[in-house]
Amino acid sequence: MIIVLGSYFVFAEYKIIEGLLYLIGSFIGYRILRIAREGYRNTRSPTLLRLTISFIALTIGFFITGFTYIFPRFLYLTFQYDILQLRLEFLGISIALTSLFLIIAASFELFGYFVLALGHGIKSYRKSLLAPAAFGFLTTISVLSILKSISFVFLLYGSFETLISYLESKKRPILFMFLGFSSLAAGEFIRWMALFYSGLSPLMIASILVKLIGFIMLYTPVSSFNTYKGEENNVGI
Amino acid sequence: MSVYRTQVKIVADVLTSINDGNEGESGLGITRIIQKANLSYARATKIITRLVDSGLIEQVTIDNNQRYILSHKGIEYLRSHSDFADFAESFGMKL
Repeated sequence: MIIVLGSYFVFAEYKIIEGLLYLIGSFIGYRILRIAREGYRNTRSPTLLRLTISFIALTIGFFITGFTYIFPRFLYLTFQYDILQLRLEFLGISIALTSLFLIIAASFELFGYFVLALGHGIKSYRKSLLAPAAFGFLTTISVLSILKSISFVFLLYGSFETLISYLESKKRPILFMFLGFSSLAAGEFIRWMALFYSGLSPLMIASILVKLIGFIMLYTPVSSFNTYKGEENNVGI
Repeated sequence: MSVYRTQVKIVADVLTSINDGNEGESGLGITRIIQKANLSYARATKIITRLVDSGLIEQVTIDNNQRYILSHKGIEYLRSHSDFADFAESFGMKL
């Protein structure tokens, strides 16, 4: 078993690393959603409700993506050592299910980023025309590409709005959030460029590193918040 | 340009007014709440009624005057509001 696990890590491909990255993302998303949910429970703030819904969707989306990248590859490498005799049957199912899972995950991510962008209101529309221009980035090749593209636009919009908030208040946690969201967007963009090359290209490594930095940046301001266990209030007026 | 206040912010402003203006445990009258929280009379009475119903403030009668004091639940609410306002702000949002 140790040899199998060791081989699994030695022959780990970038998909597995990316899958691990998405699992880290889902953990961070879960932390944020727990704090936001407690906040909504205590204050009944619509802003915190939107954050909760957004991060529920993002957590599920990241988890499904990470799971889809890691789990089939783990089983595939395991089956190469003839531990089970279901290799061919499994491969057939996994190819079909991987696409489906990735589309479901992308849908969750799209919804999450949409609610997050919605939560910012329309600050940038009053101050700049750059955010609406971001919608021009949309390129569509397949269902997954469409969903990923729209997610990317919402992510750009969210990071742009966060930048505006930072410029207004000059508070460091907002800067971390901006850097986090913009790094995730940059990582996704670099990943698209990396699709022109097969295997583990330098662009793919850069994409993974930039996304990792993005998740770390997102987690930095959140890590200082402990999950607050206050009394549930009902002050909706 | 005037800054838009959300309902949650208005509630927090009312509670803060009562908390800050509660001199010697005698509570705060509605006129002072209106002034401090910058609300109309109609809006203030509606909000205060809801806050009393939800147990965040308590109504006391002193010398035939209706006055309001913050309850323990109200203090807890203000504390959590402050914490989560910081949390929402780190996303560039307001409560």
